[in-house]
Amino acid sequence: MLLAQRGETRSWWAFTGCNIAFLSGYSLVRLGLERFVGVDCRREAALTLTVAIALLLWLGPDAENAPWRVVLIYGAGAWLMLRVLFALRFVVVEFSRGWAVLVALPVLVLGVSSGAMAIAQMVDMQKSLELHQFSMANVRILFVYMLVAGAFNLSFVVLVNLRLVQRLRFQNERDELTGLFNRRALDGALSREWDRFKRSKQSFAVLMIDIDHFKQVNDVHGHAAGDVVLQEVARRIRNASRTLDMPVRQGGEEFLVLMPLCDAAGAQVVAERVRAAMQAQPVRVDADSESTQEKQLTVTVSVGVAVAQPADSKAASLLERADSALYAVKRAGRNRVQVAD
Amino acid sequence: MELFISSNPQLVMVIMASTQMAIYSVGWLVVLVALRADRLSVLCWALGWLVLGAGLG
Repeated sequence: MLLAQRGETRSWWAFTGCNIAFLSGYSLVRLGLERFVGVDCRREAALTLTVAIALLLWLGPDAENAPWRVVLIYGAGAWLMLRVLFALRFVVVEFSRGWAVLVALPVLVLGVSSGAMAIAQMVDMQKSLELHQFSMANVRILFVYMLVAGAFNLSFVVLVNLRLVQRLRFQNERDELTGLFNRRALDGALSREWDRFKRSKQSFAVLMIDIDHFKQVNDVHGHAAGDVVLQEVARRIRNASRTLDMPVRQGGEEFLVLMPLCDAAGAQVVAERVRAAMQAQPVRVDADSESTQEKQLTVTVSVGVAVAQPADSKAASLLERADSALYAVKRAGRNRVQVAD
Repeated sequence: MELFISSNPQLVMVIMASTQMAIYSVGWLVVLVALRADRLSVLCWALGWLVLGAGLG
């Protein structure tokens, strides 16, 4: 535009090069946003850009082709932006509908404004709407660019920050090896569940799970095999639990499942399911350097169950009872389920 | 300056929009250095605004 404003003869850079740069910018912005939300649009964006550039090169910088160039630029811009709207369903999945609307608004305004410019040019092909020529339509679209650039960048700042916060929250509440919740997350959830129990008297339960003879796995097969066993036990606990249960790795080979809205019978069923899931299938661990064969380790677990009772003075006493039940199982020979009194 | 703005407000708007986009771009490039993840998408985004601003200007 600045080159065109100088009033020199129509140079390639001012009327074709700048338009190519403009569309490339659109494509890069779209690519950045879609990559961020996990959509691979490279092929379609590259195809749109290639076709648009080929047509721009064919039209050249001449004044007689100016209306067609305007239609092409705004039309391609509108297409590139409106296609972004399809990727925003992934923003809904990862963040929320509200945040998706925040991103969708500038995209929609830019897409619709560009489309309107293309249509306005098509309606009157006698008068060119090239950006360097003064017209109210051009002033309006420039105003839209300024507003949308701000809003669009602001919404991307929000998305980047939301993802960072989500990652921090995940790392704060999850055990890195198994992906289960960690002790910190358990403390908060247990406290909330306890408050709910005191208020509504709806019982909840905890399963305390310990891998039998885990030290031997580490000592005999190595710590890498031990890690595989921990991951597999975590996976089976997760699968055996109900949707609303909260599986936790307490530390070492000790796991816990917090079971909201659950009585002793229900907790015992899930505990037995966990125990049976471990016994049913051996855990496969990778071959070490000395042996070429894959190892299969039979891993069993002991489970102590405790259900919240009105006599409990605090949430910690529930854990103590589950722990006592677990040690009773250990003394009785392991690979069993015991419900605390 | 006032004469320039009043005589060609469209040009002033183009300069403002291009500068704005260039500033966003530089801002994102700074973020890119600090960011550990999503680097490629932020790089595309930053370059996109730079090229868009250049094309507009």
